[in-house]
Amino acid sequence: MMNKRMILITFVVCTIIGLGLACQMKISDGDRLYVSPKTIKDYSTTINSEKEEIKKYQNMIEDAKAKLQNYEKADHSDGQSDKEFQQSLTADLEKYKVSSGKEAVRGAGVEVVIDDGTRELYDGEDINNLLVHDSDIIMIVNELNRCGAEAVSVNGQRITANTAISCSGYTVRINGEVYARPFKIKAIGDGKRMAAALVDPDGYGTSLKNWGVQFEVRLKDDITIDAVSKNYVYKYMNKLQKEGTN
Amino acid sequence: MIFAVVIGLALGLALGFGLDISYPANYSFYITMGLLAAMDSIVGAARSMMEEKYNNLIFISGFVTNALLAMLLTYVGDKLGVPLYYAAILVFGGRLFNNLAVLRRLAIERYFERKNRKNELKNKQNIEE
Repeated sequence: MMNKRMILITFVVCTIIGLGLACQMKISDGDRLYVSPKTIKDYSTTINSEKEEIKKYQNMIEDAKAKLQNYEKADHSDGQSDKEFQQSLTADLEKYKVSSGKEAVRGAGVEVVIDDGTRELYDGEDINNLLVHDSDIIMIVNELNRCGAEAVSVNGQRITANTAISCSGYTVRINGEVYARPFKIKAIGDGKRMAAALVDPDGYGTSLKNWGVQFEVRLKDDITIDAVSKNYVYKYMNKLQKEGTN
Repeated sequence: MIFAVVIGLALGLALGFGLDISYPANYSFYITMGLLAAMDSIVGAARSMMEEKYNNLIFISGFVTNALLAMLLTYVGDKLGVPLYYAAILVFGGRLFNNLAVLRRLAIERYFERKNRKNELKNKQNIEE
C-alpha cells in the first residue's frame, strides 16, 4: 500500500506545483500586477468622492422632480395657478441669470489689487519677474473660486464659464477686452476665507509678493460686480435631444 | 505514477487560473523558490523510484525542508543584500539536470536490457527451431 500513498503524495505535490505555476503566470503576465496600499487608498478616496457626487446628483434629481410636480400642479388652467407658474419661472430665470453672470450682483467679499513691481532689478534679472502676467490672474481667480467665490470680476469684466484670460503683450485680454495694469479683482463670497488663502505663507499672493509684484487684498462689506458685457452667441452648439423629452 | 503527475499538474493549473488567488508581488520570489524546490523533489522522487530506493518520508521531508530552506535563503539574502537565493537556484537547478540525466540513463539502460532479452529469447527460439 506504499504505492498508493506514494501516488497520492505525488499527486498532492504536483497539484501544489501547478497551483504555484498558475499563480506565478497570472502575476507575471502583467494583468494582475500587485497594487500598492497607497494606490488602493487613492482609489478608495476617489470612489468615496464619486459616491458623494452621485448623492448630490440624486438630490438634484429629487429637486427637479419636486419642481416638475410644481409645474404640473400649476398646469390647471385657472388664473391663480397660472400666475404661480409664471412666478416660479421668473424666479428660476433670476436665479440662472445671477449664476451665469448676466446680472449685476452685490455682496460682501474681497478686492485684490495686483500691479507691476517697482523695485530695482537685480543685475541681469529678467523684467518678467516684476510684471503681472495672465497666469497670475488665472491663478488668483482659480484660488478665489476654490475658496467659494460666487462671482468674480477682473477690472470690471465678469468672469464667467466661457471667460478666457490670455496674454497680449504688456496687456491682458479678458473676455476679448484688453486690460492693462493695475488689475483689480473683485470677488463676492466668504472674504475671510479667500483672503486667508491668498496671503497664507503658501498662498499665491505671498509668492507674488516674494517676486516683487505689488499685491494687496482688502476685505469689503459691499462689492458690486457688473454683469458680463458680452452677449454670447452660440453658433455651433445645439441642445442634445434625448429620447422621451421634447 | 505519471497519471498522478499529469492530473495533479492539470488540477493545480486549473485551480490556480480558476480561483482568484493573489498575493503581493514581493512574495512571488519566495513562491518561485518553493516551486523550484518542489520540482526538484518530484524529479528526485522519480529517480529514486527508478532506482527502487524510494521512501515516502524522505520524499515529503525533503520537499518541505528544501522549499523552506530556499525561501529562508531568499529572505535572509533580501535582508543582507546578498542574493543568497542563487545558492538555491544553482543547487536545485543543477540537481534537476542531474536527476533528469540519471533518469534518462536508467530508462535507456532498461530499454536496451529489454531489447537484449527479447533478442536472446528470439535467438533461443531460433536455435530451438
